[in-house]
Amino acid sequence: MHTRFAGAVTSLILLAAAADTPAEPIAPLPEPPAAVSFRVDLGARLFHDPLLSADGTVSCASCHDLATGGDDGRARSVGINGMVGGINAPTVIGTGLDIAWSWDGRAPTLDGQINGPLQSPNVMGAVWGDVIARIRSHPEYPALFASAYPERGIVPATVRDAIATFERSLIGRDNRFDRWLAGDTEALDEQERFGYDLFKYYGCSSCHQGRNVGGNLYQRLGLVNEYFAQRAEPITRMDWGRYNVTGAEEDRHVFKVPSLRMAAHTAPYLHDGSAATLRDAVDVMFRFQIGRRAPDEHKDAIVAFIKTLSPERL
Amino acid sequence: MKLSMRLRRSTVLGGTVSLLLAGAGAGALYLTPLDLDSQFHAAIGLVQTIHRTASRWAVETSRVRADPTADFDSLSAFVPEVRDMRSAFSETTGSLPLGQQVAADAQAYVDALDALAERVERFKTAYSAIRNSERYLPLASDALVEQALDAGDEQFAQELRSVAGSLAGYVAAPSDADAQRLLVRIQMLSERGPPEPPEGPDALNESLQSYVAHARVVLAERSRLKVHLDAIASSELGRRTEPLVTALEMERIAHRSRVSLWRYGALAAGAGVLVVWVLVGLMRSRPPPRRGPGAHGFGPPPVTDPPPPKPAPAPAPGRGDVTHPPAADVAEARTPDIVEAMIDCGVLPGLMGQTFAARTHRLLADLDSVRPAGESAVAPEWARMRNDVRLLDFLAERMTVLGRHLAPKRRTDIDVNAVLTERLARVREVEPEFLAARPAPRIEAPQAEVDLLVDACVEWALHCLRGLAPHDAGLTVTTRPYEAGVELSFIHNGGRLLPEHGHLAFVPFATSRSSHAGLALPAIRYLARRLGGTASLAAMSDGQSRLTVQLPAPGE
Repeated sequence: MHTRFAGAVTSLILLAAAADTPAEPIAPLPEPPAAVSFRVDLGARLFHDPLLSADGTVSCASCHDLATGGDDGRARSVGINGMVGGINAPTVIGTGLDIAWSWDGRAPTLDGQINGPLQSPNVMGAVWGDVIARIRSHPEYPALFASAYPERGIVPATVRDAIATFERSLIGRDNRFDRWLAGDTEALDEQERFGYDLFKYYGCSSCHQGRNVGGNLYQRLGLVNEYFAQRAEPITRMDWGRYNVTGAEEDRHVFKVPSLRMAAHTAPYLHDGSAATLRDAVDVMFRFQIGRRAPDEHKDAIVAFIKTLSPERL
Repeated sequence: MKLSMRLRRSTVLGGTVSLLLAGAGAGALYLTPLDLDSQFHAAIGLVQTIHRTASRWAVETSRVRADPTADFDSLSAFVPEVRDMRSAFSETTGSLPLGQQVAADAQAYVDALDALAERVERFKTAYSAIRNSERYLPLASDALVEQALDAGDEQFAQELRSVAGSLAGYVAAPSDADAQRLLVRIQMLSERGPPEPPEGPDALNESLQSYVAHARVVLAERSRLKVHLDAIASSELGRRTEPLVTALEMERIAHRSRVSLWRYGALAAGAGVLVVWVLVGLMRSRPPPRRGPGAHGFGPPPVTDPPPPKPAPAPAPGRGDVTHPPAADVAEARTPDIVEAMIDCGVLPGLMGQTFAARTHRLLADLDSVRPAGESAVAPEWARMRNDVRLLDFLAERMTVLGRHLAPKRRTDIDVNAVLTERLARVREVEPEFLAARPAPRIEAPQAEVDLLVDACVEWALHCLRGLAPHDAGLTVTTRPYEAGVELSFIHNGGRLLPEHGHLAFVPFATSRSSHAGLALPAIRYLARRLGGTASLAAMSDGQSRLTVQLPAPGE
């Protein structure tokens, strides 16, 4: 009875909202930024090359596999020597649209973010001096750098720039929701459209908005109800979020809002990888971020809508 | 001629070096130190651009705040733009020689920009948190009120309406006091619990708790949002922009003035060096006027003003073996100064001679100021010393006059024998013997300078012969050609140069005779060198001394 009542109220509100809010909180993805093709190609090669890691076993693509959505499908990534990282690797696709990098936004530039995993002993464990020496002695890289960076050559800055340039080119534009936004009314089915309306109605779009459906602000995990108080796992430093960057108490458990653009392919979810499925993640959001109850069909519809944000083919 | 050529070369070389130095210095200052106008303008332009961008950012923030469905992409798009401007501004101002205060102002400006970026970021966080709750709370309260009425709990419904109205008022005009009061009321509402609805207590209780949770979010974030918005709207950047632009402009002008000062100072210094060099060169190469015999003053100086207290019979006044009475301290202090000046000057006519004369005048005045009483034990020594200084003063004056009257160089063809014949005819003290070369040797030189040289040589020889009886004194003057010109010899028997003193013969003030000033031979060498020749002194085996002056022939 209560669920039916809530559904009726919701429908009325959605109708009213649709009448006077023509602007959508989500915008279509842009074209990738113009870039020198030599640099994109060079960055792609470096991105996939385990030569960048200390023992030659881990590449950027090890944790950001483009074939599976730009992440590794694990709750915690595995680095050199089988070492397990402290946080869930986010997708790299669409990352160029983010406001900052890493879950806590510690890297203000994409180029700078590359320093983190490359030098982290749990991920690639490399030092730039060795990396540059290996690239310079490589049979092919010197010529590629000479084409891409004729004036600067092989230095950490050009390596970072090439990889970042490649990453910026990774945008999953071939998705049904953008086609629907562009006027293709058949691109979404009824449930998906309903899911989008619910997405806005429940306030998911307060944070997940813009062309990347997130990635452009920080928000506390457990905004309405405490998340970490109920989590079984003990709190680690990684759970402190942006507090690790600013040291401000109000930033404790604040994280960059992740983009939902590749959410269909990037389970598990959340910074701790605790949500195994997209539906689980939606449940967590309703409970701790939105602080409202919703019928299962609403959540399913929202999941259906979220999947339309991602490209169907990788 | 050699002397003249050397002087000319010296002047030209000196002038060239001065010009090069001045030019290089000024060029280096002009090119490198620091025409920073463009950097200053760039910094000022960046400040203004940052200000405009920050203003647009603030306006966009207000727009987003007014639109509950707005996305944050437009606000985020400012981030890389601002980051680039900040980086450029820091780099530009970092390369400028800013004063401490302006550098601090520039840093404060960057900090204000960072603070603005931080505020916008926190605005997004706060706004995204409450805009959902702000939309949800009225809907939730309406539903709860309806359910409370269905359950017949009018009082609960009334309390809910009241809290909802207060929350709406708080959202419109947040205040900390209202927030505290509302938190208490919401807590009481939560503890009271909902009425028993037909659907069952759990669902309604959950709705109530959700309402309470959202209300708390609004109460926590709304006042923060207001703080952020106020800070963005009245960003410190706006307050700091105009003063910083003014300060940078002032700094630019000040720097430009400093650079100009350096530049023109360097140019003036270079020009000054050049002028001094040329003047010195001109003075050193100016020939003396033709003067009457003895006028050059290289003979024994007439001590015209006797010393005030009559000096007691002094011990043999060897120079340098004086005792040191208190009054002598002044002379002790001054003498090296004077000697050094004279040595530096060669034999110093012109400006240098004036300097020397000024110092001897000062020394005389100093000595007069410490004149001892007549019966004092040091009075004789004081008198002797004053006499010596007066002698020096006299010499200085004469040499200054000599320098001042050196005639412009006009070379003429001179018969050396004729000059010597004319000068020796005026000698009364002895019967000089003149062995003249035939044909008569000729030189090309300024007449006045040759006269002066010959006069100095004859006077030196006569002075050396002083004290000898006329029939004992002997002076032989010879001229003879040598491979490069003419050689003049002055041989006298008035005393022989000791071999161990040979290196001192032409050192000013070095003399073995108490009645000599020790300046004649240096003056002779000076004059000989001016004419491109040499002067040397030799002790002959028969006890005589021979002064030899070699002058170059025309064309040498």
